[in-house]
Amino acid sequence: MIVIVDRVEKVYPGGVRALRGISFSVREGEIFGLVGPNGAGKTTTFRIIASLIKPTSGKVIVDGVDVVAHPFEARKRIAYVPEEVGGYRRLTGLEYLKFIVTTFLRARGASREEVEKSVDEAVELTGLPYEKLSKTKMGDYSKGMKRRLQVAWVLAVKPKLAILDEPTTGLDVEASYELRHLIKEYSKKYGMTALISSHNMFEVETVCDRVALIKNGLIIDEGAPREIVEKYDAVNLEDAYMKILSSKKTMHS
Amino acid sequence: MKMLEKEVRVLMREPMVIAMIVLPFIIYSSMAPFYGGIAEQTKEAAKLEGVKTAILVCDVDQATRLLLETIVSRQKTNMTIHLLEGCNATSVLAEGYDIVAVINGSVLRRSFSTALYVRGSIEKFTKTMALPATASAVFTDLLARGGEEEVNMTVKSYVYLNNRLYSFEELSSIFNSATIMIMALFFILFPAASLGAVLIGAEREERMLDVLLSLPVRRRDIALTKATAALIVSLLAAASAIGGYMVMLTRSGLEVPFRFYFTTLDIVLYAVALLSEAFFVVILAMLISIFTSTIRGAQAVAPIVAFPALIPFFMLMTGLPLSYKTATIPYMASIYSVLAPLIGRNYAVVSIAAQFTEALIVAAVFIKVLESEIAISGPETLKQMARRLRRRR
Ligand SMILES: Nc1ncnc2c1ncn2[C@@H]1O[C@H](COP(=O)(O)OP(=O)(O)OP(=O)(O)O)[C@@H](O)[C@H]1O
Ligand SMILES: [Mg+2]
Repeated sequence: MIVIVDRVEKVYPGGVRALRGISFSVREGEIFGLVGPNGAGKTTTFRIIASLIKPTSGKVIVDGVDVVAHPFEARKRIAYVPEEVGGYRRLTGLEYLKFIVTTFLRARGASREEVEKSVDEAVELTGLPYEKLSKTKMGDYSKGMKRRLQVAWVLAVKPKLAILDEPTTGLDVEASYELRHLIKEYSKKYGMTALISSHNMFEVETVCDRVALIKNGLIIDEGAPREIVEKYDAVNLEDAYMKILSSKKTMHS
Repeated sequence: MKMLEKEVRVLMREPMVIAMIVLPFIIYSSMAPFYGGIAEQTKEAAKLEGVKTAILVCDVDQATRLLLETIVSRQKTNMTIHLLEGCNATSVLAEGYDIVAVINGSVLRRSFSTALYVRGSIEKFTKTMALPATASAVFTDLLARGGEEEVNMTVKSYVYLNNRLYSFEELSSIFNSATIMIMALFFILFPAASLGAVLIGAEREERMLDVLLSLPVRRRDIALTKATAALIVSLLAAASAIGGYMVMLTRSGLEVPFRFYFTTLDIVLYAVALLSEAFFVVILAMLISIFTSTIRGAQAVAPIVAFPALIPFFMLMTGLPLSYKTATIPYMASIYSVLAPLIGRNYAVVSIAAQFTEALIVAAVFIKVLESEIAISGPETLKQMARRLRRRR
């Protein structure tokens, strides 16, 4: 198991109980999806695994490293694309890729050649014309272009674990299609593990090996998309998702 | 909502803008004691109350001596005046006199030349600078009233400060040069504070803070590289300002005044002091900016952290405590090093060392904050704290 999330609770400083004890584990090379309604706690979970915020209780282990105790070691293994995609307004896309790929790979002791190769690979992965990347500053990129840039560097550095919070939100049909295939390809080719959240059930069904459904800070079901669809006698994952949510609602009331 | 109303609201809802508005009031009102000091010292100097004065009868004839004795016995100023023999003013000052007037000349020739020696102090600088003028007026008045006719009087003033004798002109030149040099402080502090704050505010506004903090980079490196970048650019700004200023002075045919009083070592010391304060201010600005979510908010941090640098600037006018304890207070390094020609370099060295240490302490706090969750939820935390405070009321 490359990712172990063990009874993680999170109460934000304001008192919001975002996570109420969630546990799951992810196998190496697996693409694991997190789905659930707005405010369910997906982003909170990702930020805890990425060592940006600390769990109120519980444990997170990534590739054998306790994320809370040794965040620096954990960060060498994790590349993260936040939900709200950003970019340095005054840097060109190319400058940004050079900066971030160098920073990430140097920490892992990569050579200059390896870094250069990865930058080229990242450039390729953005699917954006080189002209645009090298001449235009990120301030002038569309939201979708910024996201492609972010996902591109994450794949290019081939981290042990890629955390992609809603990676295809805001992308056009073609770009989302390509991205989904790239994530699958990189996972197969390089054994990269990926954690993905999404509101697109079709995407989750086609990309993820397993999914967890999270609601109000609790995991309410988990399994391979196919299993879940069968278990709830649904036509597809979206159908199953709706069935689960409505059944849980009646269960609570 | 009107356009202006919207703009004002946008600004006023920024916590840092509120801090920027409130802080100057607190700072200036807390400076009242210093200003009180100025007024009091000016009054002291004008009244000459309790001032112990010696008139040194140096090179005068018998008639003049008699005249002086009469003057001293009849004088009605607030001073106590003793008539002494001799010409060595410094040794008399050392005996505890505040003013020593060495009088040469003759009542018969109706001509006097007076050398006024005033014991000065950095602690009471305003009084030190005001005393020679009042004292010389009083002496002229006394001597003129004593003689039947108009007398020809020349007075030259000296200030005895920190075991050294300065002519009054020399001392005011040094003081003026120091005041000019102090301006360099603001050439560097404001850009440094502003750039440091913006480097943090922009990360959040551009939604890159999460990415940056998720990278395998030591928090110490993030803090120090950002500080270094802000310092490099603000040094360029300061160099441009100081360079332009020097060109202005030389082109206009004026001599660059501090060249006379400040040795190269003094200038280097002052530069290091500026750097230590700039370093402190950059780190402090970055630390506070963690609690802003916008560049707008970060911009308001710059005056907040640069304003306190005005306090020692005012202290320069009122007089500075010559104590190592005061020298270790933040923002004091520049003032103690700019006064080095008058008070020696020890205070400057202590002050600079303290300032660097304080910068490192703030840096350590900043690094801890970057390691903690506050880095991510800073503005949110600030809001929560404000809410809790309001609820308690
Ligand atoms: N910094 C924060 N401070 C306080 N509460 C927060 C903070 N971030 C998130 N929350 C709260 O925690 C809960 C979970 O939020 P989270 O962002 O993890 O949900 P999500 O599943 O990612 O939702 P979405 O699908 O909308 O992205 C929400 O109630 C949210 O309001
Ligand atoms: Mg989210």
